[in-house]
Amino acid sequence: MISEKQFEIISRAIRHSEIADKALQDDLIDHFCCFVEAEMQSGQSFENAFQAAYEQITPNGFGEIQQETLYLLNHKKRLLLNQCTYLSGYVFALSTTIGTFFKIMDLPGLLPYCMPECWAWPLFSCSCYW
Amino acid sequence: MYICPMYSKELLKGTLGVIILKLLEENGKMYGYEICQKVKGISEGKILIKDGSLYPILHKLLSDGMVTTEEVTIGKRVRKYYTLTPKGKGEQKMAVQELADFMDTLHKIIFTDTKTTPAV
Repeated sequence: MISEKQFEIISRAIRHSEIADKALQDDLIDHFCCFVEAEMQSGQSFENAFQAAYEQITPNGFGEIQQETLYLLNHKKRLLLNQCTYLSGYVFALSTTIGTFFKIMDLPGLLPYCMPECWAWPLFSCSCYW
Repeated sequence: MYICPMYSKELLKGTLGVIILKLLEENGKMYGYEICQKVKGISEGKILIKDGSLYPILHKLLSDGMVTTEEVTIGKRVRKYYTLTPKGKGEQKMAVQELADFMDTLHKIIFTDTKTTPAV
């Protein structure tokens, strides 16, 4: 078992890292402690064990874990937002084209329904909501 | 995602979620470090999960409602035990089935002689 002081060193290093999520911090603190304890049981000093833990658990830094977590958690939402953006762009372009066509063909009655403003706000609201 | 002395990460990419679900199904509740050690032990050191990579996937499973956590305080630190939810158990069966089917298909493509004689 590691001492209270050693726990504080580990805890402080993780709490002050790029990881903002408290749940993820707790997971990593426990993981670091378990790893360090196992290394110390095999005869390593605390400093060496802590260094080894860094290399094994976060070889590319804490930021990578935070980013990977955010990516996995928000992947679907981001995908949906992208689809909404593409869809609004498509409708905007389509309505502009059709509106221009009606204007050229002198069909003014249909024009207001094809103006991008008619579609832009509902689609923009949808995008914001998602 | 992995440190693999034997397998390339491309081969193993996408299987960590299934591995976690299967281990939780077999062992009930487990904490992160325990999962890493179990994978290392069962695979005889051939698959070493780069430990930090485990938690993004565990948190994703948690957010999807596949697993639930139980917190136990050990001294000053908090240990979280992960357990499969009923939804996770159903998903685990499907994921294992899908993986088995995929491996079977791969076997047919790669290890079976599919060479055909050209039509005359």
